[in-house]
Amino acid sequence: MREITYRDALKEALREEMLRDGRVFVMGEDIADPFGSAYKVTLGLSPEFGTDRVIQTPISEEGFVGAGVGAALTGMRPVIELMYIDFATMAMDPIANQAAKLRYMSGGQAKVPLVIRTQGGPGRSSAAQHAQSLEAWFLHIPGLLVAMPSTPYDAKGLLKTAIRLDDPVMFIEQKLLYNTQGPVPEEEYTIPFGVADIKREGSDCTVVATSMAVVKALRAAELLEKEGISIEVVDPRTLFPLDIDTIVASVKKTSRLVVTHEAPERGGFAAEVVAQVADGAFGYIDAPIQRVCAPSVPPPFARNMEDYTMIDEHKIADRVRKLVRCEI
Amino acid sequence: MNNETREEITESPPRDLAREQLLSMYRRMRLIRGFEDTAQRHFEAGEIAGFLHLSQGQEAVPVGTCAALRSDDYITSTHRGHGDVIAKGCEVKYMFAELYGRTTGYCKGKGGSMHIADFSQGIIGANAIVSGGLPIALGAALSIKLRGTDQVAVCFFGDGATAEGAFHEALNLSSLWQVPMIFVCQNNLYGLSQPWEKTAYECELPRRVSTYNIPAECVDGMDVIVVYQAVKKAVDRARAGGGPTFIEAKTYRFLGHYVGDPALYMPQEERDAWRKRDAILKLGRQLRTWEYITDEEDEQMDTDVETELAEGVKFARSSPIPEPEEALADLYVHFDHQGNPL
Amino acid sequence: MPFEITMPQLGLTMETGTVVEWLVKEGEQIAPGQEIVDVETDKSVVAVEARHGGTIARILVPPGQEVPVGTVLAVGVSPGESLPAEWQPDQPAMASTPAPKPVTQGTQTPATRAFSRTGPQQVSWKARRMAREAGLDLTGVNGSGPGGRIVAKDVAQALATPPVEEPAPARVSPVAAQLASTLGLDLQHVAGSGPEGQIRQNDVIAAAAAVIQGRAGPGPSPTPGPAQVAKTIPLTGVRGTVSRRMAVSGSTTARVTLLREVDASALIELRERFNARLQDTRISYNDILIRICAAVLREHPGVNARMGDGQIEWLDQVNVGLAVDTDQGLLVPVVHNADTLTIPQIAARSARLIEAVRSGRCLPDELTGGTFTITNLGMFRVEGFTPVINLPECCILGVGCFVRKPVVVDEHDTVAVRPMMALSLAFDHRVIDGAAAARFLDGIAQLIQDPLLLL
Repeated sequence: MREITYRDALKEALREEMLRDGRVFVMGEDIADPFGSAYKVTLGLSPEFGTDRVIQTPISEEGFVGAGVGAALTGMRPVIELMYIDFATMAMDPIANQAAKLRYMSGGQAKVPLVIRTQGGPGRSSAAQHAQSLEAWFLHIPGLLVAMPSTPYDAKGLLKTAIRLDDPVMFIEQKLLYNTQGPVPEEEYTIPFGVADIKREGSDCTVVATSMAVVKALRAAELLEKEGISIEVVDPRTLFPLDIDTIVASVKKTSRLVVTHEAPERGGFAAEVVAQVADGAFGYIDAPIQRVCAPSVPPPFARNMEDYTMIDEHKIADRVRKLVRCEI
Repeated sequence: MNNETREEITESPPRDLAREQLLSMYRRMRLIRGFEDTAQRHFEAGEIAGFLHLSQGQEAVPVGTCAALRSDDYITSTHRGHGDVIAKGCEVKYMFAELYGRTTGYCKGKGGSMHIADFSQGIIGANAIVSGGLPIALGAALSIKLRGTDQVAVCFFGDGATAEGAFHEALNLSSLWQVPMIFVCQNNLYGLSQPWEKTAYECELPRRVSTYNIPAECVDGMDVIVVYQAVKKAVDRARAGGGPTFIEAKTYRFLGHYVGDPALYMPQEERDAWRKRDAILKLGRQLRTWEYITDEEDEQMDTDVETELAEGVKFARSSPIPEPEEALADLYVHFDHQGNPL
Repeated sequence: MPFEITMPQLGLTMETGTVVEWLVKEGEQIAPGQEIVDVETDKSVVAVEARHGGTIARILVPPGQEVPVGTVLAVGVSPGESLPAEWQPDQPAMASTPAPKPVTQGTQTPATRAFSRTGPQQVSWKARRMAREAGLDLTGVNGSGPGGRIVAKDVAQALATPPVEEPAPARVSPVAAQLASTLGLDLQHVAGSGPEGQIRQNDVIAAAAAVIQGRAGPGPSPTPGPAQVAKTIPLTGVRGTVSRRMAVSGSTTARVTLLREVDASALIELRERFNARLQDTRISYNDILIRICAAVLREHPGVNARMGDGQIEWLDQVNVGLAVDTDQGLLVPVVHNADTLTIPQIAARSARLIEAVRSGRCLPDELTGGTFTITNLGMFRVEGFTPVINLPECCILGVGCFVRKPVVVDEHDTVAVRPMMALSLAFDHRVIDGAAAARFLDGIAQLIQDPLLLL
């Protein structure tokens, strides 16, 4: 099977959906050629589809995200790009008070088929306002769907589904994943929301990971395998709807759980998983459930400090080891 | 009808408005006034939950505007939007039902006073976030342009919204994109308790807006015909691809910000003065002067409106209360509130 | 300067310790290196040595109290010093928690608070569920997790090796009991010298002698001190297997014994006639009984059965085992398909089997697969008894000796002496009912009294 980058997988998804449905258009800052968006995902789309379907905007997040909501309400299917998830703060009203709630407040009259694509994550010394992982904010707003693909295959399949769904989706990519490569079929496919993917099977400990943490967890699995410890890496792919059944089944099998993500520990997605697993797999858990996340500080600038606050395969492996050896 | 001490009507009937249209506008303004008064009464009697933000005094603006619109044109409205949505075509009985939180309300009791919507009539939502409707109306106008129809999108908002960032973003983008959007600012001179002069350094809205290269004018919001004519011009321009227009209609709310607000920040002489400029009374005098309506017809219309309102309330009160579990429904198209596929 | 004696960290995973015994008193002088208190961790009792010389001023934690590592157990003062005010006796003694650290200006609480994961008998959720489902009492299960936490593998281990139930030896040995009964001796206050205080024959004799010599009445036992073990027989091999199997049978079967006396005249005569005819085979009573039982089992399939996993299983073969006393212990070789063999064939088979078990050369297949067992204690002059059912079978026939006794032999109440033999059929009421067992026993009795019906 051919291998393409995460970036190209996203671009293919956008292009295929724009060809398939004339109501789909993209909008955001700097997305038209020659710049083609901050992480080059939309590069090549404006020459093909024109500036009516690849609408480059000024820096007006509240304005253009709100416009996306209005367009979605009135028959279009916009895919808005927020350059950095950190800028979502400028558009929180259209996202949280409008997109998430219009269907509910109108008693089911409204449909908001809006996708907001954005990216987050540390690792480039981008500092506190350009490196956050804010998925927990959106997870906590009833009315939104939240997807976080970790591989090119997942990225393409999930983005196509997101565009075809009639509900508003926060589609959260990761800046360091854009260049990663992975197998992606030539034939068309979509991935449903609410279905987790077991990225690696194992028996001694379940590791639930999202986005970049999946990559780190798989590296940790390699390290641990040499020591005879086998971990099962479960990637939820969509934070909401969440495939808790797959996670619970895995924990029932392994009796141990580590949840890991790049966002800070306090009030993060991991806490949601832990709560649901503690309920659903209660009599099967043999050791205290662990989270391996960033400390609850903003991302610092200096490379060594940023590294210190980032999760990595060693931190994950270390925690798994302690669990399996009954040291915690 | 109290006709004393008003100026003489000197102008002739407008050429661009037929008698039927004028009578319809007249009735509609009275319906809105009656709806607001009735809602106030029932709210004060404890039958309606939440807040009520009423618009007695402002009726000419939404009625004049919507008279220039088709049913497939879009409007967004605000927390003070009962008049806007009735003007666009909402029926009072379903509005009362929504205020009473019944399943027969426009939003099945899920929205309430501040969130009335009827997508079948282009009412894409009243917004309780001040300025929240501006980007949405912008989006609707963008959608019209992308789809290539000749619809227009009207955004109703108040003077308070002109201080929000979204106001400026919407002006900027609508002008940049040249979309068929009409900004209708119902400037009732108060954003809650903040007076207009303290809200903007540049109080001349058209001048402020002109920097966005959008045609803008200020009209007398207490004259429904004037409002209609200004909006009609803007609508025609928008349908022809001429881009956005900004209309500031100076008007006044006869009550405080919400029912229960004593409005101590509104000076009594000011309130009295604006009462004398009541748009409904003015149109009534005009219609009688032009002999478009007799006194009997006037009385009959009054009675009809009362009846319609009374039946609306009766309908609402006898409508079913939603099952509590309804609170969990209508969040997503594809999933239930817990993420299970529907 | 005053010094503190704190609960030491005696192991990497130790989090708490218990004071067992103070080896010094308040006011006592101590030298560096002197052992001053015994503390107990979950692994052992350790004596803590003083690091300073001086005087023990206040002991703060009494024996029996469990405290976290680092807790101040006692304070002392160096020579020539007096105790600081806060340690003076008129101040209330500190609780067993460590002294709170003074908060310096601007101290931040740590970013991540390390919370304690220990507590009374920590048990993981999974371990608790496993224990609950298996009905396992967790007290006494050793925890291998941190802080002594019991985890799943500890429960699994506890369930896999059930404690060996050693039947407690009787308080009085049978011989001693018989002797005491004969002598009319009250054993209530007699101490035993046997294992676990068992009263033995010698103890009874001694107690009786004491009574005779006038040192009568209940008093302290003549043998002061605990009884010593004279000899041990390990529960290994056959002895161990028999012990365990007897215990399981005794505790799981619903055993009922039916007693039936039969006239063995025909049996005796049949054997004589066989042995007179056959040259190289000797028929024993057991061989005939095996054949008789096999035939009756065939007709009572509900008795040729066993208790399976939640169901009663009727078996297709009739395999009769014969209990044999050997040097190693009780073994039960099996004559398979006994209902298809003639009595001479059974005799030949059983002779070989008995020889094999007695010489220790029996094959495992020859000791398994039985569906019924016969146990004959007639040679020991035992008449009737209550044999233990040989699981997984549901029935066992105990055979007693011949007793020549007068019995009524016809309907005219004629009395004659006949060789009567007691049949003790013990059956498992979980598998068969009394009536069925009685019918089965009746079938056997009929054939014993009229063996020609076998034909």
